[in-house]
Formats: sequence, C-alpha cells, structure tokens
Amino acid sequence: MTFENVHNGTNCHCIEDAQSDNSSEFGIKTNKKILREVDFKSKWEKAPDIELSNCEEICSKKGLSLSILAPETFDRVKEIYKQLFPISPTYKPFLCVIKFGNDTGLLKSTPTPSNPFHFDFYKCDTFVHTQVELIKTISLSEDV
Amino acid sequence: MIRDFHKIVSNLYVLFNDGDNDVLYSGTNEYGNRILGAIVGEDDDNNSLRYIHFMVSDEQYFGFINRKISLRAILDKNESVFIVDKTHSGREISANLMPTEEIPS
Repeated sequence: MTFENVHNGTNCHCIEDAQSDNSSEFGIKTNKKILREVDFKSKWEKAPDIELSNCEEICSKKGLSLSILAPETFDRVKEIYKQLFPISPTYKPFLCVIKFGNDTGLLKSTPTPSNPFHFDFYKCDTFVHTQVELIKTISLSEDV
Repeated sequence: MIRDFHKIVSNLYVLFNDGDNDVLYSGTNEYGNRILGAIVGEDDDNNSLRYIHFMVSDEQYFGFINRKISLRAILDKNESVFIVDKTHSGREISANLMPTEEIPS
C-alpha cells in the first residue's frame, strides 16, 4: 500500500505506528444509513484551506475518525456517540459498524479523554469505499 | 439586526468535538455577549456544516454545563436564533436569523 495522498502537503509521518486491521469492527459516524464515498473523506480533504499548526493536528485531520468496537465495549462506545449528537436538535447522524477489507489503509489508536476507543484511519492511495463492509447501522437519535 | 451579533470573536471554547467537527462551542461576540453554537446539520453535497448561534446568559450557560437545563429549554427562551453555514475549515458562508419555533424538536 502507498500513502502519497496522506503525505501530500506535509512532512509529518502520519502513518508511523499505524497498522492494518481487517478483523476488528469499527464505528464511523455517517449522515445516512448507508456508506458513501463522502463518509471516507478526511477533514483535510473536506477543508483544504484549514489552518493547522503541528503534526498531531495535521495527522488527525489527514485521518478519518473512528472508534474500535468490541463486544465488551460496544455499548459504551455507542453511548459516547449517543451522548454527543442528540445535544443538537435536527442533527440525526448514524453510527455505522464496519470492517475494512484487505489493502484499504492503516489504523492508529488515538484515544481522547472523551473517547478512549478513538482511532484514526489512513486511506491508502487506491482506497475505494466499496472495500469496506457495512455490518450494521445504528441510529444515534433513537432511545434518547 | 445588529451587525455580526452572531459572530464569536473571542473566548472560543469547544465543549464537544466529534473527532471531525465541532459539535458544541461557546464564545463572546464583539458586544460582549456569550454566544452558544451547536451543530444542526452537515451538507455533504455542498461540503458545509450548519450551526445555530444564540445568546445565553451566564445562568443559562452554567445551568447547561451542569446539566440542570437542556439546550432546548435555553433555545425556547430565545425568540430567534442565527442559522450559520460554515465551510469545514470554519469560514462563515452565510448567517440568517430564524424564529426559534421553526426549529424542529
């Protein structure tokens, strides 16, 4: 896998310590019940004029924000998302449970105080979203 | 409408970020009022984010932070809110005033 797109415009070593993981399940926030190409656009791709000051910020925006899911932590992760989004009226995103196919990219654990299960996903140059398996979709606006 | 009343010019503090977008934040406008901003939508087609901005009193703000008052309850005390569209880099695209009663529950 090559990562020229990830390193385009920066000298930061964003994929250092990142690894392939084609067996774990991850949660990604989406605006629709299905996976679309736009769901895998990084902040950097959506906001080419964004001003960032250091490699931690740059690599965070070069990657996609995900959460690793395991049977014993699934409910906890779901609550993290559910607590976050229903704060705002009308904003009803979804949590898609996904699994990455072979040669799609690399993942790096990037826990935050509010989400200890947070990961960044770095797409390889040949990534296409159809290589990602959608396991199930959870509405973040139900049962709250 | 007072010019740039909705615009946060200082004391920006992000209360929640989902890893990509600021979900909830506060700050002060140029007239010294505390403004709360909350995401209400993401337009994938136009690559933009939509927020509401509205003024909050210190009592409302700290009541909300301490989970004693809901965002909706604060909203309902305002006759109108600003709908602010932004790019993903945070640049404002447009801002318009809207009656609070038109915001869906």
